[in-house]
Amino acid sequence: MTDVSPTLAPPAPAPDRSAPPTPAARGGQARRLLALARRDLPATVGAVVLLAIVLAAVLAPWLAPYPGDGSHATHPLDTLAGPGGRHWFGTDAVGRDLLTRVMYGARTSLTVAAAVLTVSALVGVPLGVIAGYTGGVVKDVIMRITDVFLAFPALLLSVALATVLHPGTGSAIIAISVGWWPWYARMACVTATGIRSRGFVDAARCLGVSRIRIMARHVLPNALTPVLVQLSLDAGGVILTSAALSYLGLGPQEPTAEWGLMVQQGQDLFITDWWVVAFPGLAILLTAFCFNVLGEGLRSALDPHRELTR
Amino acid sequence: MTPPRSSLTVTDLKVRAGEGEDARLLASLPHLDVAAGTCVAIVGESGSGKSTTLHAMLGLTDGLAVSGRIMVGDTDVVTAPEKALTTLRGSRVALVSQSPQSSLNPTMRLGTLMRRVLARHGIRGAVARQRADDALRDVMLDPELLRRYPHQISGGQAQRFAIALAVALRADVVLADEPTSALDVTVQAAVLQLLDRLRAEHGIALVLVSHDLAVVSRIADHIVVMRHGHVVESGPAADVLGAPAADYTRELLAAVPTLGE
Amino acid sequence: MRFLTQRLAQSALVIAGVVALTFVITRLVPGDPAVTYAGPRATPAQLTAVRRQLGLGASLPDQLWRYVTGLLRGDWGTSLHTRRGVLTDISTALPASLELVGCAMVLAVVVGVPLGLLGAHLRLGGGRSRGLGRWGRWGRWGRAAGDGSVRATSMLAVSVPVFLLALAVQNLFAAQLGWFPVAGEYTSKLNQTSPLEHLTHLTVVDALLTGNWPVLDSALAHLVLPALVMAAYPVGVVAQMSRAALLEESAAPHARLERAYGFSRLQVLTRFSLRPASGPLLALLALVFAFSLVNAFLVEEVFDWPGLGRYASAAITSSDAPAIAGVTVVVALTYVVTNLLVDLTQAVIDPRVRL
Repeated sequence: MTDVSPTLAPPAPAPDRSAPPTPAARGGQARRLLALARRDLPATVGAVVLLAIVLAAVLAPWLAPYPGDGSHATHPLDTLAGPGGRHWFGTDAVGRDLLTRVMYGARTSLTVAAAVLTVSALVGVPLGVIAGYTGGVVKDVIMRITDVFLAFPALLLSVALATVLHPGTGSAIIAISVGWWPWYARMACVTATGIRSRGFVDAARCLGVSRIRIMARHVLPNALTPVLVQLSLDAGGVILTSAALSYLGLGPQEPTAEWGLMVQQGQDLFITDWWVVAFPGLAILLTAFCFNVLGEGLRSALDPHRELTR
Repeated sequence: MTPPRSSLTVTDLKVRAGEGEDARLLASLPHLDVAAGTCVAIVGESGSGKSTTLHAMLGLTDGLAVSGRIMVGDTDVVTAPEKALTTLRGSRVALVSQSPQSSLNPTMRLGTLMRRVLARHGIRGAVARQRADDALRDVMLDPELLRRYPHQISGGQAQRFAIALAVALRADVVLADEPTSALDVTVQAAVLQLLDRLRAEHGIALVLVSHDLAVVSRIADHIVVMRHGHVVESGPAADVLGAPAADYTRELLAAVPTLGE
Repeated sequence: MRFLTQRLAQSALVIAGVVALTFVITRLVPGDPAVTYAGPRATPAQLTAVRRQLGLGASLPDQLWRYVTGLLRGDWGTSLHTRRGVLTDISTALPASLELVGCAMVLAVVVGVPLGLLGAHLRLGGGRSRGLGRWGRWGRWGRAAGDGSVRATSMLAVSVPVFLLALAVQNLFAAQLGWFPVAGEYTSKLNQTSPLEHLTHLTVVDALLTGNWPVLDSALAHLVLPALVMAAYPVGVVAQMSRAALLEESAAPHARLERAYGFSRLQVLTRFSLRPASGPLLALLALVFAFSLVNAFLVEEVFDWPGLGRYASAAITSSDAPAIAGVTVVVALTYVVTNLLVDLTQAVIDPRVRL
């Protein structure tokens, strides 16, 4: 019985009705992406800058001018040097190269963001799909629990949790994820509720396909598109939240390079040595900004209804 | 009987999307003359350019290039400045639209909408109240309805109210865009009758856009058949319905269900 | 009416969940609260006494019961670092934060909505109807640039880390230019010459009510920078959202009818679209309100503002579980209540929503 289900698989999510299907679907997709890129210049620029940031983060050990400064090296003779030829972004209070630390900071921030979004989606989406597809009491229970978590602004819950966990990268990830998953649960629930009433789900049910299989093979894939858009929109928010957490001293600890932590450590020197705060701070701003612009662009590209609101 | 005067004259109308070489023709209408007290119907399937033509008559073709002449009285809608158009819309040319209920602002009582629309055209106070009451009576609606919100009335009532707006403003030309397609069959007939009566009583020049020849055949004096942006056939209703010249018109006629079939 | 009862029951349920969750979190606090409270040099006998006083000996369900009933009775526990009642601490700290958040919300509506309106209006083509209009191609470029800068500004406002903005603004306008005081709520020296009588704990309001002009003057000067910093995110979000909501409304069928009856684009936006668009906006404001309360944690840290945030930071550094729990519950409660109020307001604004 179960081998019937593949044939019932719904069409790929978000079929583009305006473009007739071409045999060279892949080439067509690439062209569409290109057309999209030309139409939404800000999102494209955002994506390119993000790519550069990701590359800088991944290649930091090889690209950074002073890789040792990424952790606890100190250079007592080179403290608080201004931006210049040897240190493009200057050095911090213990003489570490700030460009290096900002690059290593990108590693930390992007890791936290990726981990938080993955954990939140992995917890939230299945719960939401179960709630939306099953309905009834199950839905009520899951959604009320979600409501409780949503009543805490993400940063508040993170602050409360990070206080009780030992501060560090891992606990920051856990703390932010706890505040973040309910959004995905709610979103997946709404989508799943909508999908439940669609024809192909009824057809599968009539053929006796099991509930779990229906959810996994039919409902989940269709609930993913909005979640993917939301993930890119949320990445900026997670970056900001984790920076705020680190700024409060609840995130990764010295000697880890983390942008929020660098700002906090440098804030008393801001008036005399502006670069100590400015570069890590601007790194947060730039990354969050690019994620937001990209997410906005993706949303309007994938949601034709929002075409006008771009 | 009102003396026949031309309320709306269209010459060489062309509506295009885009500019230069990429421009795509959405609608073209070489000539159309709508006299006061008559009804002209524009018929075609969706995408035939009939609605675009209608919106061009209101000067509401955002982002589209319009050429030719659309004379309402002695104002050319195509070239008139926006300020003149906002005065013309409503007071001279009024629109009755496709989805009556969603066309009414959901957060506004009907009376508020009526009052604002009248005030927009300089009619206020007791005169406005009188006009509103008269118009509502004219379309056979209870003036009590003015206290309601759009979601509290039926589709037929909403469409009558939309017509009442045109009547209250004493518009010369009424453009009806698929006025019955969202309504039940019984209500459809009543709304058509209403439009027909108002045309006769108030000497309104009525332009009726529809995809349905059956609807049109009841009240149109003149029929224009459009397809893919071009006029396929145009002539007095009796001729078009009785002896269609174009194959496409025959197809449309064949699609009209007749009694007993 | 049924909706209202349902909504109230739902809120009560959420509040119960909030309390339970907070309880669970605070039980996870590392270290022995008794040691924190009594100090490292306390004798075992003293510790036992403190444990009894703080109710730490009881079983977990028992503690939860005590915690819940305590909350209801107004006994929110004793702060380990101030040694005062948590509720007392919060009731003096919260008004200071609300002062900031209140200013931010007012600015969000007063600046954010018009910004969104401007963006939407420019996006729709301003007063132009067809063709290129009087300003030709340059006008179109100008409008696109105008809308673009509205969008870029609001995007920037939501992307800037609030503590960075606080530091930058404090450094530039207070430390360097000296236009505004660097930190604090008002000059503390005034406490000797014209002491402030506390009625509401909202400094500006208290100063106004008691006619304490020197304090009012100083308080307003101190309020400007933190309030502006706090407003950045709400203004940005509200501008983005109102622009999107207004554009959506202006594409709705009713907008065409309104234009067909002689209203200009701008009139359709301001007189006909704002109200139907305000439903989602209000829901957003509730969310932003709670978010801002937490953002105040960071801003208060920079501006040394005696609010909930600074209280929370102090509690965090001293592992003060009752205080953290108190702050958490208060913010979550504020959120739940705001949401309830928003739902009720929505019923007033949108006649389709029935209570």
